[in-house]
Amino acid sequence: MTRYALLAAVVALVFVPVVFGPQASYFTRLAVIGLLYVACATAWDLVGGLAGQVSFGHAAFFGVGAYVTAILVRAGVPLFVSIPPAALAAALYGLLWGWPCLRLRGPFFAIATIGVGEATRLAALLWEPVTGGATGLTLPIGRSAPLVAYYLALALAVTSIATAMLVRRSRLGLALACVREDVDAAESIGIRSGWVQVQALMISAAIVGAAGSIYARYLFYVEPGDVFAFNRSIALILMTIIGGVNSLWGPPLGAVLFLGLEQVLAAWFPSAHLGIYGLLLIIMMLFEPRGLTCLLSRTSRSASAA
Amino acid sequence: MLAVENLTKRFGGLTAVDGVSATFAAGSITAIIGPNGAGKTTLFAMIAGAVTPTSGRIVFGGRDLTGRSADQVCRAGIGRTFQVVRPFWNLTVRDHVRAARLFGSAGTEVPAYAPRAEVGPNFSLGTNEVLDMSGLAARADEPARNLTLADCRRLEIARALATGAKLILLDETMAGLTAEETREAIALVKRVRDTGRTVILIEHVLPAVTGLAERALVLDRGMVIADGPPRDVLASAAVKKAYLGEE
Repeated sequence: MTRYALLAAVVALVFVPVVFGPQASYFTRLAVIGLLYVACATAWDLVGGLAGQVSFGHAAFFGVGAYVTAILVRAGVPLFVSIPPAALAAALYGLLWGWPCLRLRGPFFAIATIGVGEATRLAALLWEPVTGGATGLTLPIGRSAPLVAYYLALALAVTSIATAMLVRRSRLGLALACVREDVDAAESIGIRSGWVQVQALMISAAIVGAAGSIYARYLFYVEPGDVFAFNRSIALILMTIIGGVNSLWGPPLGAVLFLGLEQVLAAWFPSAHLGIYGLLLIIMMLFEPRGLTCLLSRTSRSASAA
Repeated sequence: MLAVENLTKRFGGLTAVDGVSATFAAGSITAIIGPNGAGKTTLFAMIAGAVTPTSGRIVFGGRDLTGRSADQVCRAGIGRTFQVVRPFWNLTVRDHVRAARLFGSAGTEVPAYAPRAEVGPNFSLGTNEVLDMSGLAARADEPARNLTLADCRRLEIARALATGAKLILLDETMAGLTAEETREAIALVKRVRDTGRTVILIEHVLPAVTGLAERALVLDRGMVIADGPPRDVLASAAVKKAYLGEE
C-alpha cells in the first residue's frame, strides 16, 4: 500500500514538469530546492539520528560539493561527470574531520562540528585564487538547466531515501544503533565505534555533497557565504526535528514542511521568520520530541482502532 | 588460556592494581573477591581493553593483548558484562544478541553491508540458542528498557555469550538480586561454563563464590593476597583481616 503510494508520488514528480511545462519556473525552483532538502535531511539523519551524533557542520559538505562542481564545470567538465567527484570530495572531507571529531560524543561532537563548519566557510572565503573569495564563482550558463536540475534533484532525493533504507536495515545500521545507545557497550561486543561512525558520516557527506553539486549547477553561481552558511546546517537539524529524528520518513516530511514554512514565513514575516522557526522548534521539543511522523503514526493507529 | 603478568594501573598517585600476576586455565571458573576499592573492576577493565595498563602484560590464548582496544579484545574472544548494567535501552533483546553475534569473534567474516536478515542461517540459529540458554526467549522482541534488573543482568550475560567469547568476564552479575534470582543466575553461569567457556567473575555474594568457583583470587589494595579453593581462601587469616580489619 505504502509502496504503491510512494511509486505514484515518484511517477507524479517525474511528470509534473511535463504537465506544467518547462516555463513553470516558480514550481521548478521550489521543487529543486525542496528535493535537495529532502536528500540532505535524510542523509543528515544517518549521522544525527541513527548514530546519535548531532552535526552542525553539514553545510561544509554542501559547500565542498558545490565548489568541486563549480571548479570542474569552469574547467570544461560536463555537469554529470562533475557530480561523482563532488560527492567523493565531500565524503573524503568527512573522513578528514570525522576521524578525529567522532571520538567525541554528544554536545562535545556538536560543538566540534560548529567549529569545522565555520572554519570551512572562512577558509573558502580567504582562499581567493580557488574559491573566488567573497565574490564567488560564476558558471557558464547551459541550456534547459532548470529541468535537468529538477530531475537530478529528484534522482538524488530517491537515492538518498533508498540509501537510508539500506543503511538502516544493514549490519552497519545495527552497529550505529548500538553505538548511539552506548559506545562502551558497543565496543565490548566488538563494534569498531570510530570506524562505523566515520562510514555513516562519509555516506551522509557524499549525498549532501552531491546536493551541493546540483545546487551549484542550478544557480550557476557559488559563493562561500551561501553554500557554507551556518544556517544551512541549522536548517537540516530543524527539518529533521520537525519531521522526526532517527526515522526514515521523518526527515523528508520535515524537509517538505520546512520548505513550505520558509516560503510562507519569509513572505509574511521577513524580519521575524527565524524567530518563528525557533518557536516551532521549542513547541516540537516540548510536545512531540520524536517528530511529526510519530504524531502521525499515533493518530492513524488510534483512528484505525476506533 | 589467559595470563596476566605484573599488571599495574596507576591513576595519578593512586595505584589501583599493583603488580598482579595470575593464569586462568581453560574451562575454569575463577572468582575474584576483595573489599571495595581493591582494584577488581580495574583489573577487569584492563583485561577487557577498556583501560590501558600502566605496565605489565595480558596474554590470551598465546596472543599479547596488552594495549588493544575494547573492540579488538572482544574480537580476540573475550566477552564482558558491566558492573552497572549497560544494555542498549532502545534495542530489542534479540537485536542485542544479533549484534553481538555479528560483531564479536563469532561473526567477523560477514561483509559489512550484507542485509541484516541475510546474515547466515547458522547465526540466527545461534541467536535463538543464546536466547533460550539465558532464559530471555519470551522477552526477545521487547526493548531492553522494559526489562527488570534481573533480566538486564541476564541480557548482559547473553550479549557477552553471543559474541562467541571463549573467556567471559562477569562483573557482579548477582549484586542486588533476590535469593531466587541469584539461584537462577548461578545456574546460568554454570550453563555458560558447560559450553566449554572460561569464566572469571567478580562477586560479593558468597554463596555464588563457593557454589560456582573452583578457585578464588583475593585482591586487597591492588595486590593478590590469597589464591586457592574458595573455602580455604575465605578461611585464611589474611582475607579475614582485609575484610574485617584487625581482630
